Amino acid sequence: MDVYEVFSRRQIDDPLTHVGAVKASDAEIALMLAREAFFRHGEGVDCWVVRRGDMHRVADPATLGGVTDKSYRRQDGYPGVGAKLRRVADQLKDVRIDRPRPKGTAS
Amino acid sequence: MSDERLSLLLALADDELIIGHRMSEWTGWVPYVEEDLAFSSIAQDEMAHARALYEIASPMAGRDVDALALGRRPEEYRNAVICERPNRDYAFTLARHYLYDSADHVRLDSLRDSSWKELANLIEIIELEERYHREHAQTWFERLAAGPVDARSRIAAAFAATIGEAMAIFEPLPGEDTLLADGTMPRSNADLLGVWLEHLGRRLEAAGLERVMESGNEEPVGEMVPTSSGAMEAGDDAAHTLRVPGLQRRDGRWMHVGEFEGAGGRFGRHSPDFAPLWDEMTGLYRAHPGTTW
Repeated sequence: MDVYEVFSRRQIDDPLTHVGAVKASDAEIALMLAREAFFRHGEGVDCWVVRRGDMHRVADPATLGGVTDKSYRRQDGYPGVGAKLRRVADQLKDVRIDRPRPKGTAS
Repeated sequence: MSDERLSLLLALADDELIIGHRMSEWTGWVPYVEEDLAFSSIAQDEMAHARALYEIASPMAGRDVDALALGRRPEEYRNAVICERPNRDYAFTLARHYLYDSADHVRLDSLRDSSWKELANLIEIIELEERYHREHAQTWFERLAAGPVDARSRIAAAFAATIGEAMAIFEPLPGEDTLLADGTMPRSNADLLGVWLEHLGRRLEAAGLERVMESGNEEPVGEMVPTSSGAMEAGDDAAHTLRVPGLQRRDGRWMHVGEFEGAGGRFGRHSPDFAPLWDEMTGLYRAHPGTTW
């Protein structure tokens, strides 16, 4: 017997959510069992099963996201940027660019 | 001692920085978007590893991390020339990625046993991320080598074009004897080259592509001219363009015959491809030293 993982949609436009697993000899049996194991009270409007052996897991989950400094990928990697932006914006508030830069002048 | 250790750190870190920079040039241009994300992440890993290595080097060099990464003259960079070559097409990029990351693994694996504990501890962390780089390179290598014909011939041509320069990742370092004597390097670069070639030869034979090993003998490593200033840090040793050893299959395995001659990236000697990369990579730092986000 194989283990089949069971997925549900609570509403028809919801993403599939893992709700549990059933033991079954094939997918047809798994579907037959899953609907009564997990949907008897109207918990969902859609049901999918997949054999656990057909799912694949990363070999090294502890390294997901990296193990060296990647703080620049997250908001907390930029402390003070908002204040800096306001300060610079304040410094530039009287600067008006109301016509194109003349050709040939340095930026 | 610290000079020799610095030359080891800069070889490791500059390789990671420069190949990371080349990899990052693909961001937004990789053949499909999921692979773009994966390859860009690998580029960021390589730069993070360079940063961590520069942090150890910083007090020895008397320069902060940014100054080491971006504030040196071209001839002060110690990366192997293979890292600075332009990306060409994606097959070349993947072949270089495979050769570089498999060679990097051989040297990092050896350095886990270094008598220099600070370095050995960092290598343990770096290797956690390098494992994914090798999986990525190996997976694409196997897919492309299996065909279709266009993919197989492109990856084979890319390997053939770059295997000689890949060997130069193992160019002996300035002061390597001292590093070996005190166990900072448990094994010499010549030994590590042998380990890598045997492994690479087996992988290429498994894919039926071993003929690319032969091409390592056909041409000397591409022209390596002094960088813009012409200054060479290595003195007389640097007088000759680097030549890599030959390759031979003997007793069922691939090995190198002969020695490196002359001097290459480990002595600050680069190809003409380095100057434009350096110019772009360091441009912001040179225009606005000390700038932050």
